[in-house]
Amino acid sequence: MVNILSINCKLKGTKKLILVTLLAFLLGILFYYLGGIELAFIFVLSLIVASGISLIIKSKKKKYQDLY
Amino acid sequence: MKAKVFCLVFLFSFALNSFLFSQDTNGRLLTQSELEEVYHKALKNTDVIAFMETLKEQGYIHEPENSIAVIRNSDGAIFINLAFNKGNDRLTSHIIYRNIPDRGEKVSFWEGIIKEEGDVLTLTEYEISNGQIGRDIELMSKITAGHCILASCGGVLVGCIFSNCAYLKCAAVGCVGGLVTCLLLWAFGGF
Repeated sequence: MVNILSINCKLKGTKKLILVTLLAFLLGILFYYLGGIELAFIFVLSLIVASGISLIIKSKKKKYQDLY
Repeated sequence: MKAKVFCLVFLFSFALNSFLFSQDTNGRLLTQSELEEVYHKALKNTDVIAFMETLKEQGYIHEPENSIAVIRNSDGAIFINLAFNKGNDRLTSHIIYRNIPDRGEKVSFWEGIIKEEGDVLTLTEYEISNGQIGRDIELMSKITAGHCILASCGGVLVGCIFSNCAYLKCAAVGCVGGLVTCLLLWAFGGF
């Protein structure tokens, strides 16, 4: 887990985006085979929501760091 | 920059496609032998018998040759449209008999439309209320609350990669959110 987290901290910009896209695609296909299109849809929807929340947290964090 | 745009477009189209596909119910027509087997089973169902009696009392005549059946690709559910006609009023009243693996039989009195587009068949059911087409009936889903939690948490775990060094917090909050949503959906009969 520590290794995964350190990779997460090190990865930036396009590399991170490509990693997310690849993971999303592979897991999306896996969920599609597990439970059909509905399950894949739930997966993608939560991914988009989580990505949005992550980006908001990230931008707020950056603003806070810029202030100090 | 180009890679970023590509990835975003890819994710968006993946989500959009998933949504559009979830709106359709694809399947295939049953073969003659499959139809005969399921048809006999449907005619033995007590709810079907009761519905048939009601329709016959109203002057409808059962027309087995106009009946049509499809098997849904996603879960193997079988839908039979048992045709009943009254005079020139053709194909206006049907009984839909569904046999879904692990969920058993369900009979309802719906207007059923089976569209054929190339090799793909789609079945849309509408509730009939006072002779008018009412709300669109959502076909039964085979996913459970457990599936929903697994998929939503999986999505959150991937989506949280964006949150720099706050992965665990993001994942924990997201998974709890997914869990609550799935449980609410399950409690209110979403699946």
